[in-house]
Amino acid sequence: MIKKKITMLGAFAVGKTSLVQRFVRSIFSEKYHTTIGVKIDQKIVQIDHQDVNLLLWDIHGEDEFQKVKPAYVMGSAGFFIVMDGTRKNTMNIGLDLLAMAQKVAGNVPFIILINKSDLKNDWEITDSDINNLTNKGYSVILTSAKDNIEVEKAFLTLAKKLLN
Amino acid sequence: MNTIPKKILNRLLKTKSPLSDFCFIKTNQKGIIKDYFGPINKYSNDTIKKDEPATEFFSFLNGLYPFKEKELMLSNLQIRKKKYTNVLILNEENKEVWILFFDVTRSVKKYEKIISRRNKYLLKEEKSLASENDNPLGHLELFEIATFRKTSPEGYKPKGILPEWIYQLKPELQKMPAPYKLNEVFPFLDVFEMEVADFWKKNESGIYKSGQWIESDKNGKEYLMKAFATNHKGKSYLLLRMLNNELSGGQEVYQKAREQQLAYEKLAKAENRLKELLEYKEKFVSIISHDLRSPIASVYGVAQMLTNDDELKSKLDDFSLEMLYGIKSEMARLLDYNDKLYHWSNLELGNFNINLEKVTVKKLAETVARTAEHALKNKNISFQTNIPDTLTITVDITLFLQALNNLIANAIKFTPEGGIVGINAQRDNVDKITISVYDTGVGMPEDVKEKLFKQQTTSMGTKGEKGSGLGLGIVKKVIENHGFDISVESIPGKGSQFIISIFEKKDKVPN
Repeated sequence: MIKKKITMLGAFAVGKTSLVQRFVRSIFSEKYHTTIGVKIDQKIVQIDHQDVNLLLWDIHGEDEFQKVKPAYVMGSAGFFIVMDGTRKNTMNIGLDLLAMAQKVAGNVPFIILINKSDLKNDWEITDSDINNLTNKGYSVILTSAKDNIEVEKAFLTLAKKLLN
Repeated sequence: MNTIPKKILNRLLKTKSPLSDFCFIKTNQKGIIKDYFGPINKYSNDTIKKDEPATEFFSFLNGLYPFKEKELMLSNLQIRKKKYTNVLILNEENKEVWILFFDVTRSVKKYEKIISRRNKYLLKEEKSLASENDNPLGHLELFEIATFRKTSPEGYKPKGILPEWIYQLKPELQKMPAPYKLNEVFPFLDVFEMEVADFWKKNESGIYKSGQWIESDKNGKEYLMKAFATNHKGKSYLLLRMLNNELSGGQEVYQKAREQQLAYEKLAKAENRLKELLEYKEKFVSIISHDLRSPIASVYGVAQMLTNDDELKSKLDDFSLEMLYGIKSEMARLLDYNDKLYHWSNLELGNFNINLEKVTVKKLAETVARTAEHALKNKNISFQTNIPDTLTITVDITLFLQALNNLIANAIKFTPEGGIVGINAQRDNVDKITISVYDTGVGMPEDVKEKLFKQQTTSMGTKGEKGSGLGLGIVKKVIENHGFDISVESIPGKGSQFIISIFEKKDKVPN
């Protein structure tokens, strides 16, 4: 079976672990539990009648306490940059991580996930910010791990891109 | 009972076994019991009988008859449940066989736990030896560490016994032939291998540690893990350790720090939102009060013109005249209120510039007295000053007069007819000047005094005068924007004193 490594990158508390848990186990926890180090999960999906084992590397959030080791991104077939729509500063951190990941993993597919779409009224990331991202040619999907909005779509879209 | 032969007795005394509860049976060479002594029945499930085969009562004797050896010692024999004995068999050739029992149950119990532990260890050792995979680094499995030796670029051979957790987490390892392709089982090792490649290649000493990572088994149970690389006698080793049972102090610190950071971000966001709302409110008030000023001033102007028209007044009856004066008075109050509202909102918004000028306090006091002249006369209040002629301060004259006017208006409002209001000023020292605005009015209780500058307060004057509640707010804002202080002293029934402390700074003084 084909195995593909997908890395989850983003600032702390943007919902990386929640997105993986929603996708792999269909669960969501309201309680914030910070990730230390790396959390590795797997899920087999079927893409174009072909089974693909997605190895999901959920890497700890980037902040002044913990910096993401570029080595964790090595070997990634693709990655997600996760941002929290309610915290604009997570966009800047996400874009810094994007630059790092492209340097390490090379020209591999990625998708920017702007999470917490269930709290859209409190968003600091504006439509104009999102347009700026899409104008650069980035794929952007607005997700909610809590309400299970576009989570499956996000993972399957990236998985498809990995195979093409 | 037959006496014990001297030869047997001597041998008995040499034994190291305890002689307490000592007992024996005596058989012939064919194993038939001929005699017994002591509490022998505690070693058998059935009651011992003479002329019966000894093997009927003691199964350990099966196959031993006829005895060939002269002497045989069986140690720590578990002869019944929870009953241990040492057995010494003495064979008098062509005569009797003496079977002596020594109770060692107590001493065996004492060491039972140790023996049990040793047995388990021996069993593991046996298993380990059987797999021919001795771990040269020791029994690390006792610390939940799995040891592997790197045997090829991709292959790892297990060394010693692998701990249970590794099979619970990765059951596929049980079916996988060694050497294992561990990277396929633990994807994290892909990264770790890259990190330690040089360390292994150069056969460096010490231990290279990975970061922590978490994997889940098929039931969703999470395993917090860490990998270590080391070299030993020219061979490369990989150690995998499960950390679930260890307290992770770092985890708690990160968790708390990030929760606090999130709470701080939320607070900052709420504060910004509140500031925006407040600014919106001030702007709204400023615009409304500005736009209202013209129509109010027009109506007030008309009312003033009409009350100055003697011909018109002579034609009006008393009620109409009273209504006309009422309109003028209320419009004057509304205009004053609106002006204060406008000034207050602009002060809050910071929509003003402070233009500092030198001015004598005496001149300021004269201006204030002129403004208050009508109100003073109306309540027959005398205005007093005690100000040195040359005492000069540097202020924005318009704003500072506004503050002094508000303080004097306030003093008049709360002073009964015939009372006194006034302004004193003095230089306290080279850098400090004090200006006091005082009255002999009703004063105020402590609770009113405490919240005087903190929130909008208003109450009726001694002659029913109404107020906006904005006057002291404007005073405070003006004084603070000059970098001065204001405080209040008051005694209920005797009067109040507002004290402005002016700290002179040379750099603020214009040339």
